[in-house]
Amino acid sequence: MNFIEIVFFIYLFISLYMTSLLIFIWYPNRNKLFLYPHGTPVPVSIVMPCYNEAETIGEAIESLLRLNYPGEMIEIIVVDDKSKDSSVEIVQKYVDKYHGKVRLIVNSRNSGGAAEPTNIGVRAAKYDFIAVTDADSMPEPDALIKMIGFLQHEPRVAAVTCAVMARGSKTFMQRLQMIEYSIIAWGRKLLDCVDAVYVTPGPFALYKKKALIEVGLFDTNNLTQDIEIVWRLRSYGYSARMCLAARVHSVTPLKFKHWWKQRIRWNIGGTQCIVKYRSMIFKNGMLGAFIIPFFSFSLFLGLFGLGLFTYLFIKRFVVKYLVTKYAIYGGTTLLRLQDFTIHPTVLNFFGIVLFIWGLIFTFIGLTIMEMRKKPGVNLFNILFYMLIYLAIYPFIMATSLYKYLRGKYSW
Amino acid sequence: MVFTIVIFSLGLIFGFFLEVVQSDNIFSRLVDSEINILDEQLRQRILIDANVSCAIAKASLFSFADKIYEEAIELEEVDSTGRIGDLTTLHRRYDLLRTLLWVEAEDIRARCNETFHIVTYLYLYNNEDIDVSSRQNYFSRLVFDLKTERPEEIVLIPIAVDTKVESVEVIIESRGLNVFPVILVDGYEVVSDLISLDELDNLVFGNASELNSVL
Repeated sequence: MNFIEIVFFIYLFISLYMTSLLIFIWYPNRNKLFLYPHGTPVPVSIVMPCYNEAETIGEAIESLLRLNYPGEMIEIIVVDDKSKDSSVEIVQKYVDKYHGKVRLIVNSRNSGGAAEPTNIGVRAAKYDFIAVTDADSMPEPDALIKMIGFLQHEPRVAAVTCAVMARGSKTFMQRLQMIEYSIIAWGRKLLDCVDAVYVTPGPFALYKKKALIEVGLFDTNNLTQDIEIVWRLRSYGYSARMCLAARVHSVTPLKFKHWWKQRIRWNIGGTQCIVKYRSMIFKNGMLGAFIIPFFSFSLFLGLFGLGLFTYLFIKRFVVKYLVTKYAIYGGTTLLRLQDFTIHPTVLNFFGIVLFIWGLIFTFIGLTIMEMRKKPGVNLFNILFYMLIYLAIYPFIMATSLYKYLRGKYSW
Repeated sequence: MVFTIVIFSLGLIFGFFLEVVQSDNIFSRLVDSEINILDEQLRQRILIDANVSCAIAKASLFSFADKIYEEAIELEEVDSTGRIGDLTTLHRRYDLLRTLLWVEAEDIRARCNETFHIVTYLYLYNNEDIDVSSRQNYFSRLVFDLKTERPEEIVLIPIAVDTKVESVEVIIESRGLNVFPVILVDGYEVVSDLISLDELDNLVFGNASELNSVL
């Protein structure tokens, strides 16, 4: 075997290992995935950072008002980051209607991210438990009550996340994201089984205010403050949990361009986290033992794989081009039967095993998340998601790293 | 835990099975190559000692050369399946066999009044250079097409020059060859630059002077 074949073997092994690991975690825990500790309703402040969310913020507030939770135990704090649209006017109507329950704070400047308005909201919150939600996300009515028990029963748990489901299936990109979000939610729950939740996504997450204040609130310099806060909480000895039974529906990008921009932001944020917490690798429990190495290794593998793929592609293209050019000049056969003969290699065999294994993993995930019969979740989209959509990620990683290294990035 | 051990064991057994099948295949080819080498050595002695006629010697040579050429293509196919082990030994044996064939072909050609031509294609087995890869790919097509056009007039012998076969290295050194790939026509005409099929045809079958500008 040559160097490139060995590298491919390593990639296949790691992919097979990770997929198998998650399936092996799932199997013994399959009956416990949707269980959650029953909690007692306690006052919760819900902080909603907002910037130019006029289209969805009304619906988002309505969904919070519909939560199956004692009304007097909820305050909703919308922190506007100097929106240019009519977000403030819309929120003001709710403030007038639900006086005391819905509050509006307008930031003195546009901070360019969600962290600063969230921190303003946390500081202004009256209660000890903080829920953070996006202005384009709608939690299901029972989400909060299902999540609160995690914070009440486990002293070291400072954050709880839930299943973020993609809202909308108008475009092909949205349908692919429906599949992706379901698999991510399932995968995150599996990581929760080994105490490796590494993010509490912005659409809906619950925190202990005391812990947030202790660790210094959300990092305003990080593009993914929802990842960074979990890493920081863990570095302080706290833990984060995942409640798969609770769901929030979040609006997803309609078009590739917006999706690409969002994913670049996520990846730059992830890179910022790796750099910030690099000294903790192999320390601090699961943060150093699994989360940081997993992130770093994924980044390395993605970039190295892309580099190798690009090199092989260019080399193959150049060789084919030159051979064709020579063949035209020399009057020899342009294409031979030999050129079309496929010789299945050991690598092909492992690739097929990995693909089938990945397909099984995806189908199990979609079945568990009750997505199999949803419109837009069909075999073609699942295959496209597995073969094309996921293959775009290394390109996102490379672009993100380039932007990160140049220092030219924003929310 | 039990499930993990079962899956792991299945993978191990399957991997072992796969390797055994491939090893058997390689072993079988090694035995074939051994037989071929002995066959070739014996054939050479018979052709010389028994004073066999040129027609029979030529027919035997062509038949054997074609068989070896086909086996070489099969070997390339096996090699492209990314086996975990190393096929260099098998390649060396085939290169040795083809070198024997080359020497024998030159003897028979000299004895039989040059009634056929020997086209020896020397290439690099271990190569990562794009330019060399492209040229090798082209040269391989060139000699293949020539052989296809005139199967009864050419003995085609492809030999890898970098598999550390001593006899190959001696021949290369004695002819001052140091740039590959090259095509040797009847042992003395060296083609290392890109030429067309017609030009190679002319070089092999006459009108060699037309090629001076190219070579």
